[in-house]
Amino acid sequence: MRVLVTGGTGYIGTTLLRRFPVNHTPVALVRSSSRTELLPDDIETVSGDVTDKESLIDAMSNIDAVVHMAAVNPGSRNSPEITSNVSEEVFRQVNVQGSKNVFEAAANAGVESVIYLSTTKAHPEVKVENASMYVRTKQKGGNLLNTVEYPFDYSIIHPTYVMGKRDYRLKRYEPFRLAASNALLVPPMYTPGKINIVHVETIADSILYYLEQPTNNHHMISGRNVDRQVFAKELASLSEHRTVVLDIPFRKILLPFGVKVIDRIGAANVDADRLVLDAQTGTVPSVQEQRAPVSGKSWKEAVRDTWRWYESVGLL
Amino acid sequence: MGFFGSSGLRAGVIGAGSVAQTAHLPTYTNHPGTELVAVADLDDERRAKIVEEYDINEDYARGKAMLDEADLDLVSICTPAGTHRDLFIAAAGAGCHIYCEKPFSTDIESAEAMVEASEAANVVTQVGYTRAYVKNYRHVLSMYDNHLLGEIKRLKTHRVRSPPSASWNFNPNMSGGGVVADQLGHILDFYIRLFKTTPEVTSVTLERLDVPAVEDFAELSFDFDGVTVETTLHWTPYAKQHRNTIMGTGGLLEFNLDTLSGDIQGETVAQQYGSQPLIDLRGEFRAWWGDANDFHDRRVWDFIDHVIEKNKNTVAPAQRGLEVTRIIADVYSRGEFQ
Repeated sequence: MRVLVTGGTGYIGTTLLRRFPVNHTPVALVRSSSRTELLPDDIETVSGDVTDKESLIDAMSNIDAVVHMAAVNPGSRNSPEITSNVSEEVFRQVNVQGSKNVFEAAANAGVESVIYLSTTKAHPEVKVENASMYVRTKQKGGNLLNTVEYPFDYSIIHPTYVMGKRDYRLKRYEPFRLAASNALLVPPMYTPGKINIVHVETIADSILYYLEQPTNNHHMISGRNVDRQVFAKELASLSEHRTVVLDIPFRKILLPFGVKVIDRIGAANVDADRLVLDAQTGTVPSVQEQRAPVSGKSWKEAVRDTWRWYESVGLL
Repeated sequence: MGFFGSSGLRAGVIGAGSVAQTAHLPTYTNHPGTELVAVADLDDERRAKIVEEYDINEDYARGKAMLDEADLDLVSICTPAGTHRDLFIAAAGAGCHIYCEKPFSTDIESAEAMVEASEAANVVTQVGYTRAYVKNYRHVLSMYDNHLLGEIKRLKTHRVRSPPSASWNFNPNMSGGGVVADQLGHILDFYIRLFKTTPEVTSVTLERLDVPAVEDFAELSFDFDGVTVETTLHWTPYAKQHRNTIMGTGGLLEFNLDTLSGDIQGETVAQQYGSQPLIDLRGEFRAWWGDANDFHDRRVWDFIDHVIEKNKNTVAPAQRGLEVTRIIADVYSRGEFQ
């Protein structure tokens, strides 16, 4: 199959394009502003933009399947609750209308199989209060597949918190740097709460799996819900400083106090304003933990591979 | 070869001044693959001291005599640049692998003859540019090569330091020039490593302020495939600064031999000798390990490893010395000064 990939320069995209089996040929959709240097050397590219339907129709001549990952992402940092400067209009244009354009062009081109990359909180079994613009627009983009009768099969993939090599936008770097550059980690240097980490290669392989065997359904691709202190300890174990992770007892009461005091004297390592006492990053209902159609790498391997990549590029 | 059958490569050092004592003599002593067997230096007193300190069997006043008689496998040339040509060609003629300190040569014609001699003799060569062994510089190169710095828009280098103490530095026939000949080689070697091409010299200002005979202030600009690179060099006893500022579409980094700091992709970078802080409180306070810069050991060590593997592809072979010599010659040809 010739597979058009949108979002090929993203965290998952750069890994996915390197894991295609020989019987399929990926074709990366690129804009003039795309960081094409992140693509593998020998990759085929075609220009187009998800907000320009005509360009998609041209790009999909001679295409058998589509992996649609391009989206406006507010760029998550340490905090799970993201505020973004991206306007609602842009979110809608790219994540909803852009997806509609991709699906219509795919229908027009007689594509057989479409993968839509969604997000944890847009999964029907995950309850979300006050969903962000990002989550709402990703949800709407995916709902098109459930509600419109397109002539192709599809699968909607919901990854949890992705980690692994090639984080070219350094979206995961901050906790790694903090663990590497502090011999002692106490909250708020790691945030209390839970995190669900999944290896980027597991996501890529799952996409390839569902591309061949579409289900017309939603699929969570997840690891275990892990206590963030356990995650912090895993980071600490990788640091050459023999970093120690300390917990604070009664942290829900003491932590806000402590942080305010530390913030006053200018010594806190994270903003007190950004402090979340019970951060849930990519966490899923227990029935949705450790889901993947392929045998994947563990969350610890995801953390280690991320660490080693930062090390290899000179950042740790 | 020693009585107990040491099978190390026989190493010799020509010129036992400061760089020999910092980098070459200790590393040939410490590397398990080499044995420091000979040293040459015109200064009898200094030579005697080195012979005793490093327990060296053979010592010579003249490097040429050492190359003729000592049956060496590898040699370091740590003499003034004006002497490099004859020593280098003699060493290649003797079949020695050669580590040549910078400046590689005082003129293009000599540099070409040296490259030719080393190629004819099929020996491993390395020129003493240090930056490839400094962790901060390696990390910057790696961040750039991994597309984290984006496209480079500007690079500025300031190198301000006290004038060298050895008098030959102020004799252009021996040194090849002043602060440009002394410092630009390291800097150009890094630029070439970063941009993977050689530059066009676009503007040159040279001034002689406080030292005899040679320039001690230089303001240079280069064009690397459309990117403007500015370099300011100054020998002065009154100030000390070493700073590279690299501005890319993906971030900004400031770095020198000791520290690296800035932001990449919106994230903080702070390193010293390539390591992370021990404590980092929101950048307001940083405490570090007692790490030290060990690039001088590592560059000679790496050369020895290449000799053992018979790998001529060292970090800066003689050909790189020639490239750098050409650019420095271009700088001098454009910059007249009194």
